[in-house]
Amino acid sequence: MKKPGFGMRAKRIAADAVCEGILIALSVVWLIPVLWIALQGFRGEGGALVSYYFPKTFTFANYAALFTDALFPRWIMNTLTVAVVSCVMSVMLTLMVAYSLSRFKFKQKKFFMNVAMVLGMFPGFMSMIAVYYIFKAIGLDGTLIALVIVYSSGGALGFYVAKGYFDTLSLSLDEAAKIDGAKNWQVFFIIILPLARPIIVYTALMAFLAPWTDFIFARVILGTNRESYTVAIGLYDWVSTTRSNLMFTQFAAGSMVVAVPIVLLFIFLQKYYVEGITGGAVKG
Amino acid sequence: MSGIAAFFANLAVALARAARSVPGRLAGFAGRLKDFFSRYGADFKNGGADVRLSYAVMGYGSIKARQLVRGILFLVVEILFIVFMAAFGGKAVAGFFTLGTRLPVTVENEYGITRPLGGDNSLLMLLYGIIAFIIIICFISLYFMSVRSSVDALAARAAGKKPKSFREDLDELLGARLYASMLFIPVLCVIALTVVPIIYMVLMAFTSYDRNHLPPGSLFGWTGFAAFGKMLSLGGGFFAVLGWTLIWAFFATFLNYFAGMIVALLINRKGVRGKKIFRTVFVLTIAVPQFISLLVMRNFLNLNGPLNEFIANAGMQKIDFLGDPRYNGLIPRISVIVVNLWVGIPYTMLITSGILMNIPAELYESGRIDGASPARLFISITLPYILFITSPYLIQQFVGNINNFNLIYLLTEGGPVTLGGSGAGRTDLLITWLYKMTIDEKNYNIGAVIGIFTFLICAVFSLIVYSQSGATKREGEFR
Repeated sequence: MKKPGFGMRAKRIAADAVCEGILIALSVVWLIPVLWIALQGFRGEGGALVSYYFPKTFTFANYAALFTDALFPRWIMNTLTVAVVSCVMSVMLTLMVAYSLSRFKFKQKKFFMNVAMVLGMFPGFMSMIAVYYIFKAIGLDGTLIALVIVYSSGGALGFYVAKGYFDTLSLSLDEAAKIDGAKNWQVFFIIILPLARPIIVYTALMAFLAPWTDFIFARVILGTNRESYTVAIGLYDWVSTTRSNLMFTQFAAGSMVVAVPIVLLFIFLQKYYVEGITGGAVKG
Repeated sequence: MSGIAAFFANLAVALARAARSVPGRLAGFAGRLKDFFSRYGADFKNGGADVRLSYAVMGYGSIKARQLVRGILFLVVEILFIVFMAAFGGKAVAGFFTLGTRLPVTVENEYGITRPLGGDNSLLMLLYGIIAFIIIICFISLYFMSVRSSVDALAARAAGKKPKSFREDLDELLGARLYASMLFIPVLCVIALTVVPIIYMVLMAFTSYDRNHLPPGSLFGWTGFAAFGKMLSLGGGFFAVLGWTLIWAFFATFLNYFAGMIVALLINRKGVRGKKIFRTVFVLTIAVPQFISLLVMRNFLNLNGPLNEFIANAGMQKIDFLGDPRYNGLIPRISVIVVNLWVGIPYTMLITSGILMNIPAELYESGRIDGASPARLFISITLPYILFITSPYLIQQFVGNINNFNLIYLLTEGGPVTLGGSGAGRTDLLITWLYKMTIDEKNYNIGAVIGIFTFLICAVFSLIVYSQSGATKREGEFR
């Protein structure tokens, strides 16, 4: 191999500078809207849209208004409750399904997997209205329980990533434990679960985030029952109604209150997110 | 790009193979069904009185063979089923076929507000009918299980063996058949919240459930394929929306994919500083809940929003990014694709940079020794490697984009509306059109037809992927 000469080195430094420049430009493009909404949350002048980027006066009043608002703190609590409960339940469902389909050979297995795949291809929406009527028939429409059930049961069909991960865990672990007299359920709890940490974190993260970000399912199921709104539909309500002129800066502040913890959580756990998406193909 | 060409070639092959295997599979299924029933017939013919009685009284044979708990459980199931059918199921099944015959009477309260009272509710009758059918199917499979179990238990007794005790059954459910106990609750969830609703919606496509037939005020009935014809007659709206949906899904998926990969390559370039900062900036936009960032974008791109103010200050003409109806809505269409790039590039960036760091360095070493240029290295090592690992993700993205309700609805609500008759706007996808058809227009039957077509399109794409990609074959590769 040739030793790189001086000319090549100069070329390389120039290329690096160009790349650096492109990245800085892209970062600016990506940050402008995010920074804008953050600034709007501190804007002292009211009104929906103003014709300038930086607010003329800064204030914390929008944030103060959030917590004296009749409903906003309640929406946060609603969402948090739904998120925690459905996170725990959907992790359990996902792990059970993934483990069963990864470790056992049984007659209907192929059938299950195919049905799950086909069901996953129906637009979630198509079933949404029907789900609403089912809850209505049993008197749960407009309640958070219905929302928890809907979000959790999503875990039963979202097993692909976890199954892919379990498939990469060596069967010899199971066999060794079984030789020592462990039953399958003991193998699951003692051997598999501790090894499945990355996939548990991924599943939990996704399930925990869903209630904060989904608004269409919540909107159909909760209807006009504003008391039990989650933050997503609550905030959407603020900017989509006729009051949007009054509420825009408060919406911006509310968005920040929701977004900041999620951003931190996500940055903290992004490694697991990547592992989840690539089905454990990326390690490290 | 050879990977993509190969992918579509494989797609065609996979489709053809799938189509060819259908008759064989059907014949195989029919054969197994025949074997199954002939076995039941033979058991009945050859069995004694105990066996024959087990065909009528579930669990009788088991009880007789001293599998008490198991037998009694089967018997209880039978009794419960009979009670259910007498009290509720029979009516529900009948109602499924009529979808209601008695119109409610309209009553007026003291404030002069009218509301329907009594009468049949077609919507509930359809739902109850489906649930009754599912219960009947479950019962039938339990019935066959009980017959099999009784016959086997009696045969074991006759041969002087002891059939399995209930305790042994339970042990098995935590051991060799642990999967059965583990899958029970998830399967129930899926049936109640996915299967029943999907059947419900699919069946709606064959009824007259539209704005003129809204329960509880009025009834709807079965109308066959009428809603399909009605949808196709909506002024060509369907094909326009379908075409745009496919264009959208193609650009939204592949532009994001390659642009994201380029950003990842830039960030991971050896000489670039501040990798962590750049990555965090992009991750920031993933982590902001999508409905927030999209509503922000919508306001940001508004005709009176900050971006247009900037354009006006620069002395140029304002652009109605999300609402310009000219050129068949070309500007809003480009805008949603560009906003989708803003939303989507960070995802691909995050995923591909994880993969980039894991490409074995030896591959590059040997490439360099052979004197390959950086571009050559990228095309023959980096790209195929990434494509291999992310091909299931790519397909998921494509199907996800066909159903990308949030992005379109939160940005443009499908507008600008210019297509006559169908109610669909220029940026409407099938899925947002479905939403409008049902929630706004209350034409539930047409909405259901759109849903069925959306499913068919997604199914064709997914079928290909899963039949040929590594996703299904990868199982066991690491063992």
